[in-house]
Amino acid sequence: MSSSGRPTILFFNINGTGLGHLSTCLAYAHRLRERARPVFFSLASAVDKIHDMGFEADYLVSHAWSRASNLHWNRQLSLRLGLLLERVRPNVLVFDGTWPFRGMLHAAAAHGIPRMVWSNLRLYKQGVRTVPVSESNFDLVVRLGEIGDSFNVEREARPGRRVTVPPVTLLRDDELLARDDARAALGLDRGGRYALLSLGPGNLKDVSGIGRGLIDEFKARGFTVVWTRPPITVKDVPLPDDVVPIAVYPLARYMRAFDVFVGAAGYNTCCEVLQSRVPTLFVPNTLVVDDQTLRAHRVAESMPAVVSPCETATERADAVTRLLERVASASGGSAPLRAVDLSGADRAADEIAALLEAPG
Amino acid sequence: MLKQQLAALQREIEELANEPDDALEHYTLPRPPPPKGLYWRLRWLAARTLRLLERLRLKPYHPWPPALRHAPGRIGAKPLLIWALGADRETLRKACTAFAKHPIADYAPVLVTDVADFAFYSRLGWLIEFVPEISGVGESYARRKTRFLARLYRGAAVLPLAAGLDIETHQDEIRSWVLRRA
Repeated sequence: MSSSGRPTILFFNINGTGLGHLSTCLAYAHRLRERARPVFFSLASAVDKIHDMGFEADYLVSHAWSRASNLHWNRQLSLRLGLLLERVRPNVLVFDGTWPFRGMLHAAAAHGIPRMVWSNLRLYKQGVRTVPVSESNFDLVVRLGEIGDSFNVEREARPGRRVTVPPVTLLRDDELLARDDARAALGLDRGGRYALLSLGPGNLKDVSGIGRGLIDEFKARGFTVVWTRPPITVKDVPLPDDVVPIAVYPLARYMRAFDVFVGAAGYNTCCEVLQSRVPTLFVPNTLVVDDQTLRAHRVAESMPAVVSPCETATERADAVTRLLERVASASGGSAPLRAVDLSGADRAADEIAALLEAPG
Repeated sequence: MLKQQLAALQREIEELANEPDDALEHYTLPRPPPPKGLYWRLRWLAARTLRLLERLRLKPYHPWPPALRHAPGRIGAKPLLIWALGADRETLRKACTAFAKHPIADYAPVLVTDVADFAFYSRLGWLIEFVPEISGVGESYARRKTRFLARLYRGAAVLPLAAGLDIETHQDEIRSWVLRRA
């Protein structure tokens, strides 16, 4: 229990290819801030973004960035998490990630955390190896639903109660800026024609070639190109002078400033696209374990979006042409947007809050 | 003057490192048991073999390498602590940029900081040891973590952030100080 009298929830997010895991934890924490005191232990190098949302946080370099062996990294994890556990004494630990680390499970057990939650994606590529960690280590397993998924209790009994929630968004709908407000906030012209390119930090997949090609395509069609610089990027892509760089988080807040969006098809990006309804060209990252191509195609069934690897100049030209055709037909009213349930963060937060009240 | 500053900081950190924290031993991770399944068992066996080679000194032992995977520097690089607690963001950026322009071969910088400026750090490519204050019960979190880091990096070369601001003037002095710690 914190000094405010509210129970403490410790969020533990891994460092993925982008900020997806952090965003998911922030989405839960944002919904729970009135009911609990969220604190973060982050493996993602974006602690300032957690502070910006009003939460305290510590950071440990991720296993993906560190050169320490698996054993030594987990040893550090256990000790450092132990430090934080002793200080904040959480009632619940919420882990968002693919693989619950041994160091985390050990520290949690050594400290005696009353409740454990594992939040994880559902949509993995075929052939991805099952993680050898039992869900029975957790009181609650939250599986992040994809487009079209509704809330579903897959297994009732604890430990290991398993629920699927609808897609999760960091912000509520009313927290997204309207088009003109978003443009004013970003210093963009109200009457301009803008394409936002957000192809990820480029740490796992070099996006500079695809990015440059797409910049040329959009410029040739009269767009001003805006390029996101994610906080966890280790090396920025050099940009032409007439491309506008921005570094904002959460991006969803500003999405409606743009006429079109280009992004990878990570979970959070797809959810943000569904929420903002900005016509999108998806360039799925095929080097990650989740099935971004399938996810992107599902989103494209609900709103003006196209999917392309954009590896070649021909693919890029074709993709942009198709996107602009879909934009034109959507603005003509020929393809109504399908309503999508995006209440996943609220449902997950309710499940976590219920754990706080559940008898031991 | 600079030499005195360097020596004083080194002493301060050694003193911190000498303060024990027995309660943390509770969190020491034991060796993993063999997992189920042939694939994971083979991986476990490979990890055990590597640990054995390290113990026999047939493979270099680097439990907490300071050089990151995506940054220059080899796994055997020694840590060079940049001690930056209590600095303001602008000074920190200026000093780190200066340090980055004057790398010391075989050393990888480790920034010990309480400033959350992670977009800047990501582009530096250094290991970041973040020391925030977090409210809660017991001893100050920042102080306890500082002591933890002092023990982890015991004996490593340490430079105050201010050395980065003077590095153009005192480059040789700083370099020889660091190399003498080897």
